[in-house]
Amino acid sequence: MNHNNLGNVAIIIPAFNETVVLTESLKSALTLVSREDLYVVDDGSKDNTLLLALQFTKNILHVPSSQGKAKAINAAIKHFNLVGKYEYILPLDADTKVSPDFLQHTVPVLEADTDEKYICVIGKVNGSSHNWLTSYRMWEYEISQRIHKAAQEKERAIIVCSGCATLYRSSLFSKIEFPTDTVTEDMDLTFLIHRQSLGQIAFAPKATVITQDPFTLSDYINQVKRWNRGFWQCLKKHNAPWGGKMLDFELALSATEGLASGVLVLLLLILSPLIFYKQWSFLAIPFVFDFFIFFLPSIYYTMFVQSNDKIFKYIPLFYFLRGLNSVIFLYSFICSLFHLNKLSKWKHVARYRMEGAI
Amino acid sequence: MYTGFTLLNGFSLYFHVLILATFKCAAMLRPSLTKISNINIFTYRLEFVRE
Repeated sequence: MNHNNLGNVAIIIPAFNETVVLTESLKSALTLVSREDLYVVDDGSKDNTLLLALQFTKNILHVPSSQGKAKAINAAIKHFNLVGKYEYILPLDADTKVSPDFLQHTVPVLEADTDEKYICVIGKVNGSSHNWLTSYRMWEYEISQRIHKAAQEKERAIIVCSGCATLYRSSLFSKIEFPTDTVTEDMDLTFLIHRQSLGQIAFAPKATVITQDPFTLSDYINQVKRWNRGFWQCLKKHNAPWGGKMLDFELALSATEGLASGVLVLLLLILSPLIFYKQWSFLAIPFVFDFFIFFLPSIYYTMFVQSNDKIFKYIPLFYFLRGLNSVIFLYSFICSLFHLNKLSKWKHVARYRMEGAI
Repeated sequence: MYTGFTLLNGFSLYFHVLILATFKCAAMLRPSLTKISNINIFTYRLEFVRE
């Protein structure tokens, strides 16, 4: 039982070389549950992750060589028999700080659902604005969750249950486990839930977590490559968007828009000299349209809801990142189409110390 | 065609804003409507779930 008498919740944190961030993550987890309900998987770490975790809980599963996040969580669920012991399971990332009221906003959704129509509740992922890259990610999180995910919930077609912010009914893991054959196990699991009709997915935006986003451009590119690669892997694996469900409609929408955006960016890069030399100003229409109808309002919206005006000064750099994202999306599609597996390997992202309360 | 292609960039955002706005209006008129069960693009009808 957690501190707030809200359900019977186990928290699992898989960790691979996470000494820099693990303390803050474990401290935040202990604001939700007691030490007995906190489980850590040391996924073959070479640093002091294991010793650090031992200071917070005795429930530690040590895996000699790194297996990856999905296998680590699956192993912990089996090893500690969490399905039999708990009603709910909350997997967190080692670089994630969860808000103290996370369970207050998620558990009641599942408790009130006596017919057990809902299989999980997703919280909202927040970033923290340290530099231009993390500020960009903050803007992306606002748009992708407050608008896209909120609408997808109404359509009953949420395309991804965030890996670091989803409370599951433990019964789910008696039927399926985290898939291990794609690089985005959280999206793959979400597709499985839809395809096998295992239950509905709720979104609770008041339940928040803060995650660490890449600090450097190379880490950022690697992460975006992995996410995009995972997106195409999941589409192929689950025969999307040809399944005839709302999920397929949403995926077709995302894929079409992403590809169109990639082609548009490439075209603009190639044709932009003509805007100046040949005075072909009509080529600038996408820029103007995009800036006033989409980009600027969404930036103001993010600044308002996050009470952060630093974002505004990064607008030119945001355009660079948007272009980069579109090109990576297109590239990963081509790699997926021609079975090039260059992007599927997970690379460890550099961590930085997390400070302060959430 | 060029403008149409431009509109496609960001289309899902406009679509999702429209879904949220439609839902908000529908929920004001009928609070029991909590989810959209289907969008029929041929009849331009939204089919809601009653809870």
